[in-house]
Amino acid sequence: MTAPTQGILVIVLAAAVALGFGIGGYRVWKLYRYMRLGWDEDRSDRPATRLRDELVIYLGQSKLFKRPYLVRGLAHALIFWGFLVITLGTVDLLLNGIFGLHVPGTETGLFAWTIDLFAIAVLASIALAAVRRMFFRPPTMHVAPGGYVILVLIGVLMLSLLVFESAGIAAELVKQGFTPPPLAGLFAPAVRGPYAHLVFAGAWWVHVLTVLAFAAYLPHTKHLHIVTTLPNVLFRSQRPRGALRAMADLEEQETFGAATMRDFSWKQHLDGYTCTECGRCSDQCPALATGKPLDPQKIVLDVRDLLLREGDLLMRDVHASGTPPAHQTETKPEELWACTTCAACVEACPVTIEHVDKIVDMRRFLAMMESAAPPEAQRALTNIERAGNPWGESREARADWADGLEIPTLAEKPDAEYLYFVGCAASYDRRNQRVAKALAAILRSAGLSFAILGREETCNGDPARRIGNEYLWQIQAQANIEAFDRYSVRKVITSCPHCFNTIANEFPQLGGRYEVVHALTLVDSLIKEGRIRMAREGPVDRGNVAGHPERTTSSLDLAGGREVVAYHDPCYLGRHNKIYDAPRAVMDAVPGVERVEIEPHHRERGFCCGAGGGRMWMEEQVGQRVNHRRIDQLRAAQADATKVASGCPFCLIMLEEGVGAKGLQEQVRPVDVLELVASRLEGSADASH
Amino acid sequence: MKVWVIAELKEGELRRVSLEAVAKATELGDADVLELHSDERASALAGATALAERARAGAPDLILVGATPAGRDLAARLAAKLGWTYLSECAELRIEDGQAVAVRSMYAGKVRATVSGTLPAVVSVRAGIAQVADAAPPRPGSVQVAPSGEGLEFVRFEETKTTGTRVPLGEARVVVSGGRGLKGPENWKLVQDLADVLGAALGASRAVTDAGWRPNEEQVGQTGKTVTPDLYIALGISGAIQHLAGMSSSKVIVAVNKDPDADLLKIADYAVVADLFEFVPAFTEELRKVVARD
Amino acid sequence: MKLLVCVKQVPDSTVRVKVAGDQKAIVPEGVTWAISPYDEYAIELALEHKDANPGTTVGVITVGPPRARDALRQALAMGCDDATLVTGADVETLGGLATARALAKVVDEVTPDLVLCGKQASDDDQGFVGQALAETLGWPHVAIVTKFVASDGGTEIWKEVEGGHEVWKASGPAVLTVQKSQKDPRYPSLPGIMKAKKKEIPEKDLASLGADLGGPSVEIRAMEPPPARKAGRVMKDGDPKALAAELAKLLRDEARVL
Repeated sequence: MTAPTQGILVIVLAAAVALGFGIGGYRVWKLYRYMRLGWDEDRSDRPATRLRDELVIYLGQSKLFKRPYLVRGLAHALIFWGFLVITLGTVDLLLNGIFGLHVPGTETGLFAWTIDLFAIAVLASIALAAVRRMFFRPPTMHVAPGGYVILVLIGVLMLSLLVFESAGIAAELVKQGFTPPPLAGLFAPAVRGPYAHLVFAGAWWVHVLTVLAFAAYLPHTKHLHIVTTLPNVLFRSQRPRGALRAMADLEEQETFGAATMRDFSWKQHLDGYTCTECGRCSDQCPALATGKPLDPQKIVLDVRDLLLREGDLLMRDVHASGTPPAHQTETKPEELWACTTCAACVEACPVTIEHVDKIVDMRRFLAMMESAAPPEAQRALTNIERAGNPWGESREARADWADGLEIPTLAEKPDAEYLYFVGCAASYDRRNQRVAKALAAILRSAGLSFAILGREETCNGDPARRIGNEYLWQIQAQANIEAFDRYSVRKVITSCPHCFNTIANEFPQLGGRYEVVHALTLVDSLIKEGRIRMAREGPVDRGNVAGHPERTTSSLDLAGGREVVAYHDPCYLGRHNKIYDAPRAVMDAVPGVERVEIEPHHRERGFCCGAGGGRMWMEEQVGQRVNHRRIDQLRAAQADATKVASGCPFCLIMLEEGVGAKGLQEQVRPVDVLELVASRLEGSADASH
Repeated sequence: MKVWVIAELKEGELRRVSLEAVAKATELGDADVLELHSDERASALAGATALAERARAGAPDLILVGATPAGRDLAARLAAKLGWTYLSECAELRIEDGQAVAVRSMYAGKVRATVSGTLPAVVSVRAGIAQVADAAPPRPGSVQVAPSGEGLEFVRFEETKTTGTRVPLGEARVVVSGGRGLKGPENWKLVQDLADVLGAALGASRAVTDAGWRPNEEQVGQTGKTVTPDLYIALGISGAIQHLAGMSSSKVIVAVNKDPDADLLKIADYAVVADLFEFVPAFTEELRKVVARD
Repeated sequence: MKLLVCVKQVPDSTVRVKVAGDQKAIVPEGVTWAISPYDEYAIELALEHKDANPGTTVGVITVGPPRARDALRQALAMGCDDATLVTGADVETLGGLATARALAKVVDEVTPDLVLCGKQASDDDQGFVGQALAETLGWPHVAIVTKFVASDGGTEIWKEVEGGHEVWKASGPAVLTVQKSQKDPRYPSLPGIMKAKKKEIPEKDLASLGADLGGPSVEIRAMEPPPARKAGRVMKDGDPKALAAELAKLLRDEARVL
C-alpha cells in the first residue's frame, strides 16, 4: 500500500506526528516525574516470575476473565489484542507515510486478514461497551465523559481503517497478491469508481490524524492504562500476598507511614496511573457492600488525584509535604479504618494494583504518627503491648486451656518435632479453646510429636501490624522469634490463618525462618498418609463437635449421621495464602460430611467475616455488620447447611456472632473443620470438650 | 479505748456503712459519733480542719469513717493533718497491742492483705465491717465546719442529666447487664428493675448496643468499658470473649441464660439455667425483700 | 500554666500477681509494670489542658525504684515535657505520708500551679498520697476530679459526686486527685516514644531531699493470694421462683455481696 503523502504532505504528516506525540509525551514525562516523587522501591526480584506474569496477565489478559466478568473480559481482551495488531499497522502507516518504509510482515495477506478480523472484533466490542455504559450501567461503575471520547476515537479508527483499506483495494493501490480480507473485500465494490483515490486518501488521513489525537489524548485519561499496565504488571509485588512491607530501622526514622506523597513508592503511584476505573475491586469489597465509607477504587484514585494536584508543588519545593493522604478528605480516616485487609480488591484487580498496602501505609501514618487509631483499636494495641494479647487477658493465663490435657510445653519437651503456636484466640476465647483441644487430639491420634510454648508464647502482632503499628508488631514478632530460637524450633503448626500468615510470610522479614504449616494443610496430608483414621460413628458423633454434648439432636443432621456443611474461606488462608483445597479435602474425608459451597462467594471470591485488619477489635456501627451479611449469603446459597465450617478462630467468632444475632442457633452451627475431624476420630476419646 | 465515728448522712438518715461503723466502734471501745455541719458545701479540707481541731482536744485512739468516696477523701486528709496512721477501705478491723490490724484488699482486689499500724489511727471501713445493732443508733454530736476558705471555694453543682442517679458503670460495685437473650429493647425493663433494686449500674453486651437497643456508653467489653464490680449479673449474655474481656475480673459473677452451653455460665460463680422472662421478675422480687430487710 | 503529675509504677492490671513466700510482698519476677491507671488518667487530663493551652508545661515525677524510669518514659512518650525520678534505698516500702513529704520537697523546687495525681494507686489501693501531699504543702486539694479549667485568678475544678459534679474554684495552687474519665488515656505516637527514649531523666536521691521520712506507716503482716475461682454453682431445673429465692439467699449469705 502506498501512502497518500507526496511532497508537502510528508512534512504536514511529520509535523502532525510531532505534535500528537509531543503533547502526549509531555504529559507522560510529567507523570513520570510525579511518579518519581515516590521513594525508590526495588521491584527487580524474581525476574522470571515477572516475565511470566507479563505474558499471562498483560498479554494473556488472564485476570480479566474472572467470573462474573467473563463476557466483558473477553470484549476487553479483543480490544486489547486488536490494539496490539493495529498498533503495528499504525506504525507501518506512519513510517510509510513519512519515510516510505515498511515494517516487515505488514505487507502480507496474513497481516491484512488479522488486522481486518481484529478491527471487526474491536468494533463489536466497543459497541458492546457503549451499549453497556449507556443502558446497562452497573451502579458501582464510574463512567467519565472521557470514556465515550475514547470509544468514539477507537470507533473512528476502526471504521477509517476499513474504509481506506477497501478504497485502497478498489483503487488498486493495494497489491492484490492475496485474497482481500473479508470486510475490505466486501466493501471494495462500494467505493469502486473515480472517487476511490479520494476516499482512500480521506480515510487514510482521518485514520492517521485520529491515531495522533489518540496519542495526545491518551495520557490525560485513565486509558493510559493501555501503556502503564505493562510496567505495573511487570513490577507487581512478588512478596507473598499476605506479607506487608517491612519498615526497616524504625529507630532511625522521623516519619512513619504515608505522611506525604513522597512516602508512597514509585510503584504505588504507578498503580494510580494504571487504574482503569473498572470498579471490580469495589464490587468485591465487603466493607463497601455493607455500607461502610470505604471504596477501594476511590482509595487508589484519591492517591492518584492528590499526586496530580500537588505534584507540581512537591517538585518545586523539596521541603513541601502537601496534604497528608490520610487526611485528604475529612472522612478519609473512617474509610481507612473500615478495611478488613481481606484482599478481595487485590484479587479482583485486572491490572495488579495493590490496594491493601496503600491503606496500611496510611494507617501507619495515623496509628504511629498521630496515634489516631480508633480508641477501641488503641486499647487492643495497649493490651498486646502489656498483656501479649489483644483482649487484655492475663499473660499468665495463656496456657490455662491446656490444663489437665497433658500437652507438653517446649520447656518440658524441647525435642518435640513441631511447635503448635496456639495464638491468642485459641488461648483465651472459650469457643476457640475447643478448637485447640480438637487439634491437640488429632495430632496426638496421628502420633505427631508436638509441644506448645505455653506462657512463653505472645501475640505475633498481626493485629498491630494491620492496624498500622509496625513498631509494636516488630516487638511482638521479635519476642516470638527469640522464644522459637531458644528452643531451636524448626517446624511450626498454627490453627489460626493470621498466625500462619505472620509467622510464615512476615517473620522472615525479621530473620525468623521456619517451616510453617496451617493445621488443615497438615491434617490433609496426615489423612492422605493414613495417619488419621475417622469413623462414621465416632466416639462423640451426632454433631456435638462444638462441645455441645446436650445438642445431639439428630434433627440437624441428615439421616445416617450425614450432614451438610458449608465451607467458609478465611481470607488469610484463601486469598492471602492460596490454601483453598486442603480444608476442602479434609472436609471431604470426614465420614458423613457433605461439603457445599457458599455460591458464588467462595475460593478467590470468598467474602470476609469482617474480623481482619484489626477489625475484630473495632466497633462496627455503620451499615450492616460484615458477618451478618456473610450469614445472609450462607442462608441464601445453602439454606440446608446445618453447619458452616471454617479454619480461622476469628471467622468462627464472627460466624457465631452472626448466627446468634440472626437467631439461627438451631438451624446452623459454626464450627472449625478441625472439630469435624476430631469428632470422628477413631479409637480415641475426643478431647475437644 | 476512745473510738470516734464520723457519720455520713443521706437524706437525714445515717448511711448504712456509718451504722456499721458505729457498731464496730461500740465493739472496740467507747464509741462517739460525730457528724459534720456546715452552712454550705464544705470541702474535705475544711471538714478535716474542723475535725483535727476537735481530735487534738478529744484525743481519740481511733477515728472510723465509712469508705464512701467522700469518707475516704475526708479520712485521708484528716490522717495527714493529724500525722496519724491511715488505713483505707478496710473489710475487717481489730485492735491488737496498741495496733490497728485490718484486712483490706490490694492490687485491685487480687490480694487480700492483713495490715497494721500504730494507734492513733484513722480508718475508713467498707460496708460489711460489722452487723448493725438492733438498738437505735446514738445521736451524733455535731462538729461545725467553717466555710471552706483556705484557697478553695464552692462554685456550683452541675447535675448529670443522662445517668440520673445511676452509678457510673466504670466505678459501680454492682452491675446488671443485658444481652441478646432479652430479645428486644422493649424487655429492657427487666434489667432496669433489677438494677434499681440493687442500686446497680446498667451494662449491655455489644450485640445489644450494636442493635441500638441501648446507648453505646453502656457497652461492657473489649470495645466498651472494663468493669470490676463486686457483683456482676449478666442476663441473656452468651459470653463471647469480646464481652468477657470487659468483666471477667468481677468478684462475683451471676449469669442467667436459657442455653446451658453459654460460655458465660461456665465462668459464672452462680450459673442459672432458666428462662429470663420467668426468672428475672421473681429474682427482682426476692431481692426487693432482702434489700428491704437490710 | 505549670502542671506536675505524680505517678506510681504498679503491676499492669492484666498481671496475675503472685504472693512471695514470706507473704509480705508480691513476686516481682515476670511482672509487666505500668503506670497506675488513675495516674494515667491524671497525665491525660494534664495533657488535654496542654493541648488546649499551648503555654502549658507538664512535668511528671515518681518516687520509686529504678525500674520506675520506664513509667516516666511512658509519660514522656505520651507528651509530658520533663520527668524526675526520686529513688533510694527502701523506696519500695516507703509509707504514704513519707512519700508525700518527699514529693513535697520537689514540688517546692518546681513550683507548679497545680499538682495532679491519680485518686489511688492500684497496688496498695490506699488513696492517701494526694491528700497527704496537699496537707504537707499546706495547699487545698480536690478529690475525684474529672476536669479543670483555668479561670480568672484561679482554677475551676470538677469533682465527681453522686448525681453530678461539684465545681470548686482554687484561687492558688492545689492538688487534684484524678478520676477515670470516658476517654482512654492517649497512646503515645512513635515519634513520641523515640524522643522519650533519648530524653534525660534526672534522678534525685530520696535521702538527700531532706524530707522527714519517719512518721506512722502501714506494715503488711500477711498477704494472701487471690482465692482461686471455685467451680461455679449451677442452678437449674426448678421453679423460677424457687431458684430466685435460692440465688438471693446465696448472694446474701454465701457470696456476701448484697
